[in-house]
This record gives sequence, C-alpha cells and structure tokens, in this order.
Amino acid sequence: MSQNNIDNLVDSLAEDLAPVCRLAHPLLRIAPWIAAAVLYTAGAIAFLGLRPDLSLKMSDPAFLFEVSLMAMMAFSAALASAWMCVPDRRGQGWVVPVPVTLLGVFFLWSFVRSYAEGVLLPPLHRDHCFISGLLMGAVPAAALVFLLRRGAATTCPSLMALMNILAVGGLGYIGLRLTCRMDTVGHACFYQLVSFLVGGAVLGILARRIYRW
Amino acid sequence: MSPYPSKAGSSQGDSWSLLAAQAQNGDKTAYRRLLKEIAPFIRNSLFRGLVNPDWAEEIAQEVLISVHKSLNTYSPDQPFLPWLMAIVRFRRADFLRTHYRQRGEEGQASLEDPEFIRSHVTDSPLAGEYKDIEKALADLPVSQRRVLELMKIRGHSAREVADRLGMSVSAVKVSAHRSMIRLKKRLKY
Repeated sequence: MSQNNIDNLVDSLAEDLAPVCRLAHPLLRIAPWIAAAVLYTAGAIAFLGLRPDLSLKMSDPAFLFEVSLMAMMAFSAALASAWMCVPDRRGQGWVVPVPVTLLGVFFLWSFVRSYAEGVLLPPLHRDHCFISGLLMGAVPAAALVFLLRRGAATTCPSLMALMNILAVGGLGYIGLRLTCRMDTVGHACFYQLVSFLVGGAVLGILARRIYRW
Repeated sequence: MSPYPSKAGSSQGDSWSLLAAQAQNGDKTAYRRLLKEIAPFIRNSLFRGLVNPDWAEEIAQEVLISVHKSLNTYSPDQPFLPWLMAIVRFRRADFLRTHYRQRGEEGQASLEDPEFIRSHVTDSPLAGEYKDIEKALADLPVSQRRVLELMKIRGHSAREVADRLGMSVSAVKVSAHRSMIRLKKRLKY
C-alpha cells in the first residue's frame, strides 16, 4: 500500500460525490414506526380478543407496573435503535443503557414474583402464546429492520439487534399480557417470551449481515 | 485524556465539520479536501496498537470508503471527530476480526501437510498459484466477483460495467476496490 493508493481512492470518491439527503433526526425516523407498531399491536389484540378479566387486571398495580415497564422498555429500545443508525449516536450514548436497565428491572421483578408466588409452568396456552407472539412480533420486526437499514450506518450490529428485539418484544409482550389470562411467572417469562427470544437469536446471528454497510 | 490524537484540535474538527457539510451538498472540491485532510489523521490514529503498520493503510482506505457511504448520517450541528472516530474504531475492529478469522482458517494448511503439498505444489509448476487465485476469486461474493471479472479481467470501464450490471459508477468502483483488497489479503500468504 502506498500514498498513491489513498490519493487515487480519494480522487475516485470525490469524483463520484453526489449531493446526499441527510438522515433525518432519529426521533423523526422512528416515530412512524412506533405509531404503526402500536396500531398493529392493537389490531392483533383485537384480532385475538382481549382477556375476559382485563377490567379486573387494570386495577391490579402489579399488572399495571409490569405493562408500563415493558412499554417504557419497548419505546426506549426503539429510540435507541434509531440513534444507533448514526456511527457516533450523535453523542447520545446514554440511549442504549436505558432499555437494558429496564429489562434488568423486569427480570428482577419476575424473580421477586417467583419467590412470592412460586414458578408455575402449566403447559396450558403454550402454543397459543408462541403463535400469538410470532403474530405480534414478526411484522413490526421486519418493518423496523427495513426502516433502520435505509441509509443508516450502525457501528454496533449486535447491539442494534438487541435493541430491535427489545423494542419488538416489549410491545409484543404487552399484547400477550392483554390477550392471555395466564398470569404465572413461569408462563409469562417462558411461554410469552420464547417467540421473541427465538426471533432475537435469529436477528443476533444475522446482525452483521443485515446491518453491513 | 482525549481519545483523539492531539493533532486534530477543535478548530480542525470545526473545519472538517464545515467541509463535510459542503460535501453533503455536492461540493466535490470541499469533499476532496476533507478526505485528503482526514486520511493522514486516520492513518496516524490507527498506527497505535496495530501489530503490522501496513494494516493502517488498508484500514484507512476502508474508513474512507465508509465515510463516503455514510456521509448522509453526519449532522453538521454535531462535532465531526466523534463521528469519524466511531467509523475508524468500527472498521479497525472489523478488519482485525476478519484478519484473525482468516488466519485461523488458513493456519490449518501447512507445508507439512501432504495433501496441501500435493494440491498446491506438486500437481503442476503453476498449479498452486492458479489454484490460489481461483480459490480467492471463488471466495468473493458473486456481485463483487462479477464486477472484478468485467473490470480487471475483461478490461471494461467502470461506466460500462455500471451500465451492464445496473449499478452506479461509484458503486462499481467501490466494489472493485474492495474486491482487490480482499484478493490481496487472501493471496498474501
């Protein structure tokens, strides 16, 4: 390699320069996805049917805490995904730890619940929740990846995949909690999360290919 | 302590920020100046911590191509250096990961291995070289191989290849450049 190679490359790149359309602000980029994903999840909930005891559960602080926690995690992960499309995240490095911390709080919450209530893992609703999870997650995940790939350049593909799955999984989990009446920790943490774990594993394996630039 | 080499102070960063903004509007002169100024800066920042100084040149080229590809992600109201250094770190890690993975795979071939000797050395006088080149070409992604064959073997111009494959001239040049880097890397051993 020599200085000539660099000079030739610079000349070649400069010669091929065309005006570029600046990437919109991450908030503006992700807002349509958030709106569409919420609408889609609402549609999926309507399609699957609300759980019969929902009015009762809406007055249960533990249930409301859990749903709010996952909503915050999903939205913060979606925002983090959008910021990660820029190599330096526009200096907003804090956006990534937020959803990860919320996920940690969720697992801590589930751990505490398992002590208080015991881990019950009845096979009831297993297929229902797995398939419903796929229904709720597949389309938003595909839309999110499609949106983020356009004109973006992430320097952390694996972390980006994690943020993607937290965004999609958080919303999907809320959908499942609003449609499935099984409330045990085992059911919620295993059957209702397994479809998102599978999706996350696939996305994680393919992350370097999907987000290559 | 600043993570960036001291040579590039804030005024330098401001100047690059301005040049990058002009480049985004299609100013080729500003863009050429920006690339020429950041190239030695990138190289210098890479020299530290690399076992082989030649790698700095290769990674610097990758970084320049990445800057070209991701110019749209730069926001002129943000400092330029953190954006650039994020790309440098990413390309450096990507290069080292690929390099050590390839070395690990190729490390299994040895002159003490009779099968390696037979297939690379003893079948014909030039068998090894031809086979190596063919193998290296075959390892390229299909699209890159096609561009390389048309440009470097059949002698078509970048414009002709671009028209033929339905790509932009810039994409063809970048693809050919990357393919050559890959081939060189593969044939070094």
